Amino acid sequence: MAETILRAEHMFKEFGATKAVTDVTFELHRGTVLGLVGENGSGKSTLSSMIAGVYPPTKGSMTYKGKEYKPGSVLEARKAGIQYLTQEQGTIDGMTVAENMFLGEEDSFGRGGMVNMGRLVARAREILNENGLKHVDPTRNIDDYSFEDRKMIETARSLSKQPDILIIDETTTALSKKGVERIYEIIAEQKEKGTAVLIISHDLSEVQHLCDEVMILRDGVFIDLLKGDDINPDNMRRKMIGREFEGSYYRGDFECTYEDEVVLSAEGLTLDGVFYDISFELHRGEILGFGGLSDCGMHEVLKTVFGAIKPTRGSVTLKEGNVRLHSTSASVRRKIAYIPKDRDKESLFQPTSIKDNIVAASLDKIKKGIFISPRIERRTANEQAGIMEVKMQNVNQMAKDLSGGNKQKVVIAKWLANDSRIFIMDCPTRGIDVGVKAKIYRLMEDFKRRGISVLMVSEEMMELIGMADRIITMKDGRRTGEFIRSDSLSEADIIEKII
Amino acid sequence: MKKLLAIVLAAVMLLAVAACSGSNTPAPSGEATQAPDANVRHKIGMIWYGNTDPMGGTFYAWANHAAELLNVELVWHLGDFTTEAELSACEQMISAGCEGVYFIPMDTAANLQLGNACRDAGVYWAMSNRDILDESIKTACYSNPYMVTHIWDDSYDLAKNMVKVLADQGITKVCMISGDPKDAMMVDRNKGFQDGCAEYGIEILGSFQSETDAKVITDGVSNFLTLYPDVQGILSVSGTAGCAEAIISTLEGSGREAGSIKVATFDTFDGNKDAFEKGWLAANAGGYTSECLVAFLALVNRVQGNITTDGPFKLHLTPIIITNAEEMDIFSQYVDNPEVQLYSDEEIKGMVQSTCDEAYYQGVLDNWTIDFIKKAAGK
Amino acid sequence: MRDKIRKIIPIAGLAGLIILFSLTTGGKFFTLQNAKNIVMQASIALVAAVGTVFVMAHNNLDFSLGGACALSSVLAYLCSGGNLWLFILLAIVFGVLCGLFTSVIHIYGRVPAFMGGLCLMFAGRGVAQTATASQYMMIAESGQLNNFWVFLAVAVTVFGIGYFLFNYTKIGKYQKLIGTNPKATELSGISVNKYKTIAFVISGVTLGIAATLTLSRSLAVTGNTGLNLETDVLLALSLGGISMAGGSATRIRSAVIGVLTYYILNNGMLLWGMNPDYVDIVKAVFFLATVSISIDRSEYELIA
Repeated sequence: MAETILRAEHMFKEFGATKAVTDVTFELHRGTVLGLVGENGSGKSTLSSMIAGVYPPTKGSMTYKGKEYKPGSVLEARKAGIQYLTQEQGTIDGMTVAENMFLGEEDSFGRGGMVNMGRLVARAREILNENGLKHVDPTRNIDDYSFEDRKMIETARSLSKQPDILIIDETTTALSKKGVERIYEIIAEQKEKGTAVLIISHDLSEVQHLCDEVMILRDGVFIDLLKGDDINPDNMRRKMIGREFEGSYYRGDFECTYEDEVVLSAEGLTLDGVFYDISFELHRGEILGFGGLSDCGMHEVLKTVFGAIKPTRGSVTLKEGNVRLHSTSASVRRKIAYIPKDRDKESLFQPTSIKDNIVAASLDKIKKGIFISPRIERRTANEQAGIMEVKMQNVNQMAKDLSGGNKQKVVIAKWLANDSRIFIMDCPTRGIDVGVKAKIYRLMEDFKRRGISVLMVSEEMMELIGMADRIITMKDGRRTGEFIRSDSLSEADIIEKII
Repeated sequence: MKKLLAIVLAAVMLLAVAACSGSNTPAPSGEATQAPDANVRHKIGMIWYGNTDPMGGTFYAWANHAAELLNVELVWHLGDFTTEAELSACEQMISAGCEGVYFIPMDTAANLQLGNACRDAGVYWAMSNRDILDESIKTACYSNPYMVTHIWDDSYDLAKNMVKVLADQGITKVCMISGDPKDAMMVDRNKGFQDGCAEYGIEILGSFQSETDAKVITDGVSNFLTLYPDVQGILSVSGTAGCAEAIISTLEGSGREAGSIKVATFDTFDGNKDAFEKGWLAANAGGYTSECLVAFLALVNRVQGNITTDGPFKLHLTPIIITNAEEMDIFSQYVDNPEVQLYSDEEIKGMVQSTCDEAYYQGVLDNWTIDFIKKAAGK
Repeated sequence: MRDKIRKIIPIAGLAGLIILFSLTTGGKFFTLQNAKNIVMQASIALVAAVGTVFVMAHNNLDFSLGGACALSSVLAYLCSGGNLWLFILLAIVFGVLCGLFTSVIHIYGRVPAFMGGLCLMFAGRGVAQTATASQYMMIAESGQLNNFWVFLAVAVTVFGIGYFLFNYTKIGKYQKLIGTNPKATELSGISVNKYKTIAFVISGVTLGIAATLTLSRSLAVTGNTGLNLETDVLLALSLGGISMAGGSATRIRSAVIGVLTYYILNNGMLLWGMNPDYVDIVKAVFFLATVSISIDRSEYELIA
């Protein structure tokens, strides 16, 4: 085994009454990639945050390079050679790229409080070039660049000084294929250079592909350390949830099944600069999937169908009553549900009770006259939370205190409460663990049985193939193909149409 | 949370009910102490606009001094600029046990509102520095037995007298800066200037209206100088907000010989002494604080029961006209300076006697001249 | 625990003040007359605050109150020709128009509502001062409304309706959702602009009522009508522990707790006969102490 660089012993972390991490002991080794997997709320990010100096452990100790290690801040950890890449945005708007890259390290570019901006910019340009970011101008504001560019700039920054430990926390979730591949390259390079790499990911095939060892956490407790052939998605999934799956993960059938009745149709939808001439029909009880790269325009197509974006041309018609949809309120009134990709920003009311989150879209149904009875609100919320099996103390708990998967359950419960007949789902399983994923897949099957239609976008090809009756592929804002559900459909078939 | 809220509210209600049932037998000290009794420490409410500017600070100091001298307790409330705010302060003063309330009405209706509140509570009230514009309000106030004083400043005569100062210097042609023809005080000032000019044989060459905008004044005065090269004097209804300074500096920048044009303006201002010395300024009017003191002392007199006649003393004050640098210097040093008590302790005590009547107080106000100030200052 | 203290501070502060003044003013505080004084003085700010809570719940600040009060009073006077009942109706109508103006500036101008409010504050005050300089705007019979029972009835009714709308109807619930996350609100099928506008309309109605109450105490509309109303209301709401960023933590009880605290504090200090030089300092210290404990600083903690 390679040399141990960090050893964490009996780590505990509590947030008030919540026990996020309980008695976890593990080691990081030079030139070794350790994967950290578990369901949402299992304590993965908390554990890595403690190593990165975000907050101290409640109990426990760490030894780094043979010495006791107690980082006071992220900056301190960074100076000691521990770099932390998160799923969140780690750059500060309103500052230039170069300033962002050397935040907290400006001192090394000047004397007596004065910063030599020329040297700082030159060094930034050098690093950007080394990392394939030639198109980025270090003197421009960081907010001029896309999320992906910013993420890559952050990555380049963290590698500008050779780290001893590199922590990658779900960084790939929000990136395009190209960005993801670049991250994979970096991991391979760092491994070669003897860096200890810690990866947190929900993508189990990614974990299998990258990691030498995999540590499984469940409810903040250490479950197992897998090595070699034991690292496979089925095994990891089982250990994560602690029980076997009943039946299959995706849909069990490979039939394209839906009724003839068209419930919604889009006619020549165009949003200049984003997507062009998109037409389709959604049938009763159908799961219609859209596949493509993140920037192909498919997310915006869904938003436009829902009425949140006004298209340049084209229209969306709901067959029942033959109405044109033009606003979100009109859509919701007609029982259409929309689950956005960015859960925290676009669908959840964080510092708000689970109850208010669940009833947000169905007050029209609950009210009597203009009066909204708190009793009926509570009953509705309890009912729907029960159906979705939201893990909570009670419906008065704040949504922000829930884990990612449970948050998504609350979002779905909101739409179930409104008796939605059409579900528009944008990456409904993004960033959530297999247990909740499976739950959502079962729900979608149930929708089909009840004649509810689903329009979904996914960046995971397996999910599309596994769930959709039909898949429409898009590339650069245009429709490139359509696939009918079959057991012979492969990822390669779809990828060919989207790249 | 809700329970706590309910408990607190219930407790408050309970206490309120208890208090209300207890308050059925109030002891209105005002009525009980009608007879003169020097040992009782009476309480007076003072609704005052502020104590940071010269006049506000001066009266604040004067009243506190007089209160100490006369063994009276004062309850101040500063910074009320609307009838609503003054009424609120007045109501609370009555609750605080004040037996008299003094105020400058921010609006004519304040006389009626505060006057009624005082009458209903059997509390005396006095006001100064404003005329009562509305006839029906004036009638209502005058028939209010608790009203002690109505003191206003005499702008009309003052304006006329200012014209006379110019006439005495041989001036026959002037330009005039007038005030809003719909504002009662400005109407008095405009009319005083016009009538004065007619009376003393002065021709008004031209005029424009502005009270508060120094920029308009600068342009207007420049125009006067261009249009009427033979102009000898300038009359202005207002010198506040930099207006008087604007007149003088425009004249100074005109290239005319210093003192070739004489200015008569209301309101004292920065650099007025210098303007007198150079000869630009001929008459400057100001000094209103003694009205406040007289109203306050007459109120104390009534509250102490020395005077038992009903109905208000109707008094007026003619502000002081200063005509030279030496007087201006004294005025600046001794008038509206919180450090200076212009009225001696004897004079203050003299204004709180059973012998004081309307004529006596009017005499005190009429005595408000530059000579009085010189004497008080020991010059 | 800290959270609990934070929530209790406003009501505890109010209760503390009541106890303090009861014990230290020689019985002057707890008299029927003084209770009536406080209720009447607090009513105007309370009525205006109830409407303001709706605006603050969706995360906007309204600085227009004072100017809008002056403007709608002047316009209502001019259009009603001095008829009291017509004045009341028109004050509400113009109050609503002021609210609509602010919301149009906010929604179509895509600027924070307080900019529209500031604009109204200055313009309203300016128009009122100009208009009242040329005419004395008195409605003498409005004095008959200057009565404790009228004020109490109006305050209780407005607060009652506000409480119902805020907690038991879509109007209030949507304001809180918008304040929490406007994007998620729109994507839940709720027209954000429509409900924001409704909040400004409600604020306009309460403003019109507040203008009428102000008139009944002042008899006349002057250039200074409604002076400092916006600061009184915002200070009072802060004392009442309102959430500055709006959202789900907004409670309409902040209006009644805050306004009572604010006016009882003023009243008690006057009953004490406190030296006026210290009054503002004491107010500032009390304000700082209450608000610094009760304000919501919670940030989203990352637990994953």
